[in-house]
Amino acid sequence: MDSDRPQHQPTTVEAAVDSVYRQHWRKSVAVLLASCRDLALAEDCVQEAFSRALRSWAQEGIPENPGAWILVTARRVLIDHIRSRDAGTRAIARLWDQPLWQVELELLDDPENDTRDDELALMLLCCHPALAPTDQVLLMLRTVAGLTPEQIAPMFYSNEPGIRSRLTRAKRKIRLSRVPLRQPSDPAVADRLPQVLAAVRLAFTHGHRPGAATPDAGADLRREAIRLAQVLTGVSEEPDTWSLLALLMFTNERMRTRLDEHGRFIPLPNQVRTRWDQDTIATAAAALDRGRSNTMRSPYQLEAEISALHTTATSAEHTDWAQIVVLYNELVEVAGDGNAGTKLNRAIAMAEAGDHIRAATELERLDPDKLGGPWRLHAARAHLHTIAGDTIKATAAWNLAGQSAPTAALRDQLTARPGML
Amino acid sequence: MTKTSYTLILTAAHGSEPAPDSEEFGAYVSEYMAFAEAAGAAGVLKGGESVLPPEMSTTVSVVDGDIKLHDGPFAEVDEHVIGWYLIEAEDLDEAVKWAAQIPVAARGYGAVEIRPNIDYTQGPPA
Repeated sequence: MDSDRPQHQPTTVEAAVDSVYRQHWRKSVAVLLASCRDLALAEDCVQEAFSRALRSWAQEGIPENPGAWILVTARRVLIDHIRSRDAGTRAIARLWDQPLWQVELELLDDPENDTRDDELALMLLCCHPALAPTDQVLLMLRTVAGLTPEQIAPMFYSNEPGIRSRLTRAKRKIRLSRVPLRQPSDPAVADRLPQVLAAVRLAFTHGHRPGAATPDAGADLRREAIRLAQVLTGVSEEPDTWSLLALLMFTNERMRTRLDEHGRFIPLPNQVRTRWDQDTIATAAAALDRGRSNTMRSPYQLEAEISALHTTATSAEHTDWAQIVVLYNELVEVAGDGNAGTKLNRAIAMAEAGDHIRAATELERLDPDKLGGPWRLHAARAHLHTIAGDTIKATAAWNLAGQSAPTAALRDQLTARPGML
Repeated sequence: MTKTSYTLILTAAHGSEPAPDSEEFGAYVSEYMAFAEAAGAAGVLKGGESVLPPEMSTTVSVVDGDIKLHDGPFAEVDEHVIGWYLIEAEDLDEAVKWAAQIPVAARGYGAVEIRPNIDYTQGPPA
């Protein structure tokens, strides 16, 4: 039913539906979920309400309270569905008897109504530890962020049916195993926040995976991940939510300028820093500051500090690489020995800071399998050779990186690098 | 809200549990009794058994109408089933809470797999 979202010439009605979709999708899903405890069914009913809105509003005009219209219609679809599925059973009686019914409408009528707790409840459900980490992220993107499987697929190197079937399985497990929807105030879920943070982070990471099929298909994902991180800062006392928000905002500013108008990769030193939005950077810096109230420096905070140094430097040459190496050292210590990606980035920072020998030694110790394939190691070597001014070796390494790239788009990006040096 | 019925499948690696002639065995068994008492009092526990190791298994299949017997379990794996419980819980979180208290999991000898049971009175599982 996702394809029913307006995609053709935007009319007034389609624009209205689209705007209501963005505002009320997750709220409506959360409300229906509370009645039927079936995530897939709740989503289908809300989606159906939006398709009906497209037809009905075109004929009868846009209702006064479009959000309430969607919720009432979705609820009607749900009741019809349950009635046809098991006519005469108690299930219908339960739905009609819901005393919440009136309350929900009042909540929707109130424009000031805070939906952040609903969103956090949905996020906690999606991030239940009984679900595989990747499925947690997929559910968050679909259910909380309202992205379609078509939008999600390229970021997971997958296709639309593949994403759809993973989502279906995960939602079926939630229903049949009865994974509960809990309110954020429930003490049983207090310790699940790190999982939500990790899923938001992973969602963002999928929004800037190199070599996706279309130029910047990940922009939607990154924007949604930032929005979710913002929601978390509003509902949790944990300073790490601020560090995560800062990290995502700083990183996103750099992501926005890393592709040229043809979708080709622009290395960081060549990016036009004046295109970075100073207001966003200031907001990110303020978030970073609030995250610093943690007594222990957490990985999110350290990564945000590193990201801040990159983003606030006036040019690549003015980047404080020595300080970045210090932060990476601390990060490797805090995050444990396992993270090969962190060590790879540290090696590059070492080379930038002038310590070429240690950088090269560090790099050779890394296991390519832990980096998602040998291409990253080749690309890092190319980077080191470039910093050292050895263009012949750099070109050879870029070509090796390209040959071992997992996608054609990434191969093209990597083999095009030597021309940009 | 009606409760959900789950089967808890207890598994352990060969030889990880205390042997019946060991000093430890008595304490281990009494932990199971304590678990059954607590889960029973909470109205959660509905049934369960410990089973003998796979060396004692007989596996039955019917091939073209002939009953075939196999001496041993249906699959040889490092971990084997040591018993099962039938429980009824509010939701998966409650099932997890009880499963984690079962001695084989609590002591780290093995694990407990939670499977929701199918209620055929509600039609086939969709």
